[in-house]
Amino acid sequence: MEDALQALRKEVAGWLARNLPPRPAFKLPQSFLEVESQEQLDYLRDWQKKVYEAGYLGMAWPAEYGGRGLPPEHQDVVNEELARVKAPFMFNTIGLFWAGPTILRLGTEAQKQRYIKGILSGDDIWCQGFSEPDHGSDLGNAQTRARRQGDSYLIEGRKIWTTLGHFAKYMILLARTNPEAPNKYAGLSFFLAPMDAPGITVRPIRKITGEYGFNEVTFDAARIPADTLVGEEGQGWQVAMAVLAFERGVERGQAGGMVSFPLTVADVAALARQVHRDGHPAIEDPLIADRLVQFFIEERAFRANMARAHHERLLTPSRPFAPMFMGKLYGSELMKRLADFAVTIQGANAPLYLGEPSAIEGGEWQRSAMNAYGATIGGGTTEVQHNIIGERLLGLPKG
Amino acid sequence: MSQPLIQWNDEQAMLADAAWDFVRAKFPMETVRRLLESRDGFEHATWQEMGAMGWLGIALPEAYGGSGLGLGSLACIMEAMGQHLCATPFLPSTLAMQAILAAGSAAQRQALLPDLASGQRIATVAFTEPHGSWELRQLDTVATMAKDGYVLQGTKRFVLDYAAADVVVVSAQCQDMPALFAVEKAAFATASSRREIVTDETRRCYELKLDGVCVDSACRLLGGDISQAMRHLELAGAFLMAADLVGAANGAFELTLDYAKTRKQFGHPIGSYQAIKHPLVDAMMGIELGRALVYHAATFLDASEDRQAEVAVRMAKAHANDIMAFMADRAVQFHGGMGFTYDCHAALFYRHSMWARHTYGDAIHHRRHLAPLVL
Repeated sequence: MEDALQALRKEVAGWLARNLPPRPAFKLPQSFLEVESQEQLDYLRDWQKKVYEAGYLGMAWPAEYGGRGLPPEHQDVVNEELARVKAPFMFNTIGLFWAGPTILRLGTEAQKQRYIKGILSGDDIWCQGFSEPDHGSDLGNAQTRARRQGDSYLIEGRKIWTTLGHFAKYMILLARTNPEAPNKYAGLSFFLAPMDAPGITVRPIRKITGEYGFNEVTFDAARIPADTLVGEEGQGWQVAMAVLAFERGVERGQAGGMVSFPLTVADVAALARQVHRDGHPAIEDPLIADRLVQFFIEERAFRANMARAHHERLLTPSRPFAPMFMGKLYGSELMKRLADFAVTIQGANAPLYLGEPSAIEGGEWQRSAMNAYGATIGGGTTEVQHNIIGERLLGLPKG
Repeated sequence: MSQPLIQWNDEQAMLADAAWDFVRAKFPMETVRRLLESRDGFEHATWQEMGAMGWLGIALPEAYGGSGLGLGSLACIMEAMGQHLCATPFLPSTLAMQAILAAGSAAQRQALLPDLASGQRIATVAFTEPHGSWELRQLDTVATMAKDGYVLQGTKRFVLDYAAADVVVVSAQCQDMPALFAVEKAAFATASSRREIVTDETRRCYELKLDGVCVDSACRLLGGDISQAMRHLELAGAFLMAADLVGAANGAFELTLDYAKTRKQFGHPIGSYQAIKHPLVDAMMGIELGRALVYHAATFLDASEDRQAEVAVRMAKAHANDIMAFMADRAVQFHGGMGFTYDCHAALFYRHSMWARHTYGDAIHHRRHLAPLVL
């Protein structure tokens, strides 16, 4: 297989050299979390479709639903090449990374036939209806109601932080079908809700960066077909947990590509060569240099730790899943600290922001630092991740 | 494309399993405690067993009684020994063998290495000096040519397991060039040595005063580029200690995790409180990253000892130092009043940390070297 992968790497590198789109005149989102305009969407959707049609997305997904049925190492090679050339991310993240693998694992044959191909091509955009205004970290307490009525369900309630909700065709929806269930988890069910159902209203929410990209979604007796249910009624929590395992990278099965433009320490080192402090390039300041070295160590350690996840014999016997469990927690916090450091080395000019002509590198680092919270809060906050890892991986008692 | 960040083959994995089983069986905490009081700090029978299993020669070519694997394969042995605070002359003897291998002539290698690889004899290194630099080429000790040999003048510190050693590899400046001598300990009859009092009572460190000790000219290692050999020894020492530290950090972690699950205060196990739980998760992550860096360094070190390997080794040691500092501190603190006592095992890890972090370079030292390499 090594030879096949080598050949693939060469092929993809060649394809990217010919097909990588030029950066547009308008501002691109940094990740799937801040796609706000139609022109941004069109650009990203065209790119995803192009990658998919070239055969470089969903390579490990089954061929009968639109994938190629190859071993996951093929997609890994493509992902590395996409990252290497800083290709645009795969905007349909919720479909490609979370909903798609969940449907492939737990969906019915009809659901796989209906949804998977559109996820890969980017024709069908997906959003996620998990968090509610009153239930974020405490997801198991979600109160949005789903009432069975003939061959449909009536949905009543509100979901929030709905990334891509204003463009989405479908939502993975966690709703309560049985408020009288013996425990809060057993009353939940999981749906693949069509967003064009009458009674669904999408209101945009402005983010800390000033951008749009996520929303509040209100369901006012919205009617969705009963065959959008995944699993049985009352199994919603288990399905949601599967989604979160994919979302947090604890499990593999994602279609491929990246969810954001990558931030690397090398980029920050390059910035430190450009900006000046006290009349000299910032990188010549030994205190700045040492912080950069520390970030290089962390970045290398993080990558080596992910590589280690593939070597069963190198995992720590008492906690073999540690590298997978900690990826989201450690990686998101590292990126946030790195982006903030990139801001701080700019010295007195650090406050200059997007749109300000004299802003350093257009104010993108300031935007990155703020957007980094999307990953430290979304998908289970850093604090909740500490609890989950402490309790599930280390066996510490619940508080 | 670049090589994989981590490679680890079945042979290495089997060695790791054996190392963990052996160390776990031989070094329960009672044994570690008992050995604190002993002269040599280790049991010679244990050393013989390690020799019989072939571990001492793992990083030596087969021609000298070794198994022809690289230094990288020693990571698992050092890690296991670190986790269980297991003191043997493995580190000093391995470094002495590496010195002889890198700098000795074919005849010197042939004369010295097979007995060291089998465990029949023990070697140590006398590199560190009172000035305290980790740069092995910074030498105040001087070797002057005399009739039939050299006269050594200077003081060495942190000579590990000197009392138990049969052979000492000494560094000295000779005619403005660094030189290495592999000396039979008998030649040091006139040198004065004393055991140093160090925080880590599992280790045996000695000061060695070389006041005009005469050594035979045949002791001088003449087989290779001495500067290069010393650079190799700096990296080898840092690499082995990084593995030890990551193991020790995990030992302190497991000890503390266990305590957090059983110790109750305010009616609940203290590990149920987030003030304890969250830092333990942070420590666990740091240890996992440390293990990744150690095996990454092992991979690069065995591939080729180039700039990339140097980067990986220095990163591993810098990180291992920091995570051990954090974990040893939390281990003492989370044991509360007990943690402040001599009898709490957290104390052993804490005291080990103070020695191990400052052996073959602290984090600042390695980051200073990394800056020009990565920036």
